[in-house]
Amino acid sequence: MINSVSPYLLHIGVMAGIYVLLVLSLNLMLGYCGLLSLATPAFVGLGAYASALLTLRLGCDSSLTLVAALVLGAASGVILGIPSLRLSRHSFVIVTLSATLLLQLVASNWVDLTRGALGLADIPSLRFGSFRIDGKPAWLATMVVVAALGIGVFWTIVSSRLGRAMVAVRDNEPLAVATGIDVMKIRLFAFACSGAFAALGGACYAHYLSFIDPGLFGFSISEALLVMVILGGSGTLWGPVLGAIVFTVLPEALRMAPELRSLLYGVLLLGFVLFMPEGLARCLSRPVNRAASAEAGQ
Amino acid sequence: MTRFNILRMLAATLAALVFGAASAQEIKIGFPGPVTGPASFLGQHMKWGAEQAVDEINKRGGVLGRKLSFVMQDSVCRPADSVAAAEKLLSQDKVDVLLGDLCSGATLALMPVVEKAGKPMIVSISTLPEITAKAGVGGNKWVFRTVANDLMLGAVIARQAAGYKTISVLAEDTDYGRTAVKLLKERLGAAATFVSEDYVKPSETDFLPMLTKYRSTKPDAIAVYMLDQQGMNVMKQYLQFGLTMPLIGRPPLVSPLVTDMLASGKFNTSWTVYPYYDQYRSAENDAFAKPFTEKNKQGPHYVAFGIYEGVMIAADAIKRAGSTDANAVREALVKSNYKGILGPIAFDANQQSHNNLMLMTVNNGSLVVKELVSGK
Amino acid sequence: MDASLLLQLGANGLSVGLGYGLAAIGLALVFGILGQVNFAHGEIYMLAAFVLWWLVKWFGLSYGAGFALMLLLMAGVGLLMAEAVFLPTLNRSFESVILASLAVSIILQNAVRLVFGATPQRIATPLESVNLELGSVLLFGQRLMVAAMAIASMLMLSAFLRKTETGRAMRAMAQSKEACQMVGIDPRRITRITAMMGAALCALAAGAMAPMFDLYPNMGTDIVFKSFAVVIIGGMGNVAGAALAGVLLGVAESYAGGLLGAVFRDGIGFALMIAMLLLRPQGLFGKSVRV
Repeated sequence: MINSVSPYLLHIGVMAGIYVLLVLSLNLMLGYCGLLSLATPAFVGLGAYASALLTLRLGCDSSLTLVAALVLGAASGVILGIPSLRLSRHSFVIVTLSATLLLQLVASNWVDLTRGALGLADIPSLRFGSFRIDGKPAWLATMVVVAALGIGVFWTIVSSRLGRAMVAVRDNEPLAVATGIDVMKIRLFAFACSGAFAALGGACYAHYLSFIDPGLFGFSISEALLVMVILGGSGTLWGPVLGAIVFTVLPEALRMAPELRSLLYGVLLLGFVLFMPEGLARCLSRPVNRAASAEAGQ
Repeated sequence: MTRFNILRMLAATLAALVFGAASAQEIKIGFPGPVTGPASFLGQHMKWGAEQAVDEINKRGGVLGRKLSFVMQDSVCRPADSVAAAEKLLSQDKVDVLLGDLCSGATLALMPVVEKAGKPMIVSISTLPEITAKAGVGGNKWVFRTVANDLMLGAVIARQAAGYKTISVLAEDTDYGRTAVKLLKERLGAAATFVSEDYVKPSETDFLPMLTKYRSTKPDAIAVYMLDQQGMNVMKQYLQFGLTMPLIGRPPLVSPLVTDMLASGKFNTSWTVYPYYDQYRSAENDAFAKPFTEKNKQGPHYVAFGIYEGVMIAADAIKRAGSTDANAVREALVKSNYKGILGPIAFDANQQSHNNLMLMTVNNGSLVVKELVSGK
Repeated sequence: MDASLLLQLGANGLSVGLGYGLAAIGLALVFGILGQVNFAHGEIYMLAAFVLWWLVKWFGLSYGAGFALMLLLMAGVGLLMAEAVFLPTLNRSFESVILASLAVSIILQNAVRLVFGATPQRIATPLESVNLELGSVLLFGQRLMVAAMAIASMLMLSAFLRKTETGRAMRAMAQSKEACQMVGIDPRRITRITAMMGAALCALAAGAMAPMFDLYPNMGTDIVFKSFAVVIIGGMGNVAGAALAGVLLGVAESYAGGLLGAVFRDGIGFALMIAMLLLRPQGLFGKSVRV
């Protein structure tokens, strides 16, 4: 039955799954640490290129390439984080943006490694031993599993002591320092995890679409993620995940009006921001809270 | 309307959404293209080309007695968006034939999509040679290309550039720009020294540093490879600097928006090789270009011509196949011998056609077709 | 190395840089006083250019008359932005403004594309073919006008912020919104005025610079990134800093592009930003709405 579901819808499902991973990456930094990181595309690109190159040039098994992507993402988070995480919030935004765009220039010009603007084509799909992920239904199932695992790991992090420390630093940094929290270490840890999540998403992207180019490092991914995380409900667990699904589906749904699509998207976006600023997750949970407090008030 | 009927309608719509719209009587051609984004000017031309082709065909009775229509979806020239657009066109809009995207990266990403879907795709704009290498015998049998690729264009450009000793390159930093320059260097070999190579981002508007450099280094020629919008800015600033060395390769001399700049007489040594030029006078081209210019207040860009011919060739193949069955249409395409505006279109073993190319030079302030070069 | 090449690159860099500074002043003002990042800055620039083109083409106004009228209209647009974006998000997190201004930029880009089409347009100006030759250095007429406008608006703005009542109120708001209310300054009124001035300054830049290139709906994207770079390098919220930082960026880009290659020109802006933020986070001139 799943084979007769429109490949288009399956495609949207897979992309939504990939974006769930990316959203976890940004939500950890923005929602839980209070730091707007525009470095997500950098990690996505690094993960995508690493996994693709290892597969194409060395024929590595995907279990290896995915781990490599995760490690590279985490390491990059630490490397970028050390100089940038001690800056003010505003400066952090700009440094992450600049670093990402610089990395894009490197990817475009290190032609021997990345083929530059030509990109990498014919990237084989994920393969674990003799088991290949072939076809959209298999990919959708894979992304559901991977996204679920990702959410699980995310939940573990944010409900742990480390997660609570992150929130403490976000809400009141001087107080957090006073209680003995090493701010730099916590933020580095978060940034490393953020890098890992995004790199994994990038690797999945590369093997699914089978084509990547330096455009992956561009601002459009950050743009989409900002919408998903903030309007989904920054700092909540399920909000951004919901945001990832809603805002992957929305631009596709708007394709029924091909010319007006982008304009409608902008208008809807503005509407969401003005009327649902705390995000979908909080808006949806509000009636529950009201009912609970109404009961309590009685 | 009874509640039962409404329920049925809703169920049908939902089913159509999930499983794909039921096929209508119309024959549909679809293509992704840059409706928005930096290439939207060209996306506009793509749409106009399709509109004209569809109108003309329907006026002549349609295809196999059925009406022809087209759907264009926004890809912003990005591979991921192009794939999403194509997936929608193929499974929701149920197009019978797909046309390739503008940007080569996007078209490359589409190739596996059409192979999986088993629907033919006619590439009429993207020029990256890799697309040909991957199509036809031993590769993707669903992809056909009507436009010359950069290998073919490059051969003619290199031949024309044979006299220059020093060349400076100004190209967009994309697959198109990089490949075209690489091919030029390979062809010219040791005969020419490449004094400088500058790859600019496609949205760049300011070329002062490079033009200043040329004013000082005085290369014999400046090889330009960029899309129109950018190239026109280069020409404007070139004029301001009072440079005189020829612009060669693919400067946008063909664009109707630069005719006044050409008329200044300052570009009289520049030349270019293009798959198409709307001012080329022939009965066939007039039949296409004149109504286009009248309706859209602009002469057709080569992307408009590409999409127009793409639609025509697709319709021709469907007619010869006698149905819209994908395999039948594909086989009909292989056997194509379509009388195109610039010459006959037939496909070789790599499903690449060898259309005539135009070598154009600026003479006395206007662009003229110096010769029609065979694409073989 | 050719002396005339170096001189010309320097002259280009200076004029391009003053243009960057002029374009960034509006952004610096809004950021300095309202503390809000306006992602629609580039689209305001683009809209201003298109409005000027429209006034000249459809109503037959001269460049000068069209310019003046366009400034008034764009100040109105600034007011709209205040009502639609800055005021509703005045007390909310900075993320709301980012998203709201992002939404406005998408709306403006697509509205212009739908109304005017995607075909590149041109505005003719009286100075476009006027060149000045100083020795071997070529100075372009329109760019000289941009430079003159940049310097003039900097001076006028600094006088305004220092000498007038409203200007002082704006600087007060930059220091503390809460304190403003305590001394009877209405933050909402200041927000409106700042937004209008920011838009008008951006429109001034557009009117002067856009005719040098072709107009198309996407032209704003580059402007906003360049303006951010200038604002960061100069010191966020520092209006005078923006002009000088613009010059620094313009000159650096010119030499990098001319001597090393286009790639280095693109990269030097980012490299400068990163270097600035790591070595001197408050920017070259520090962080306050100083004049």
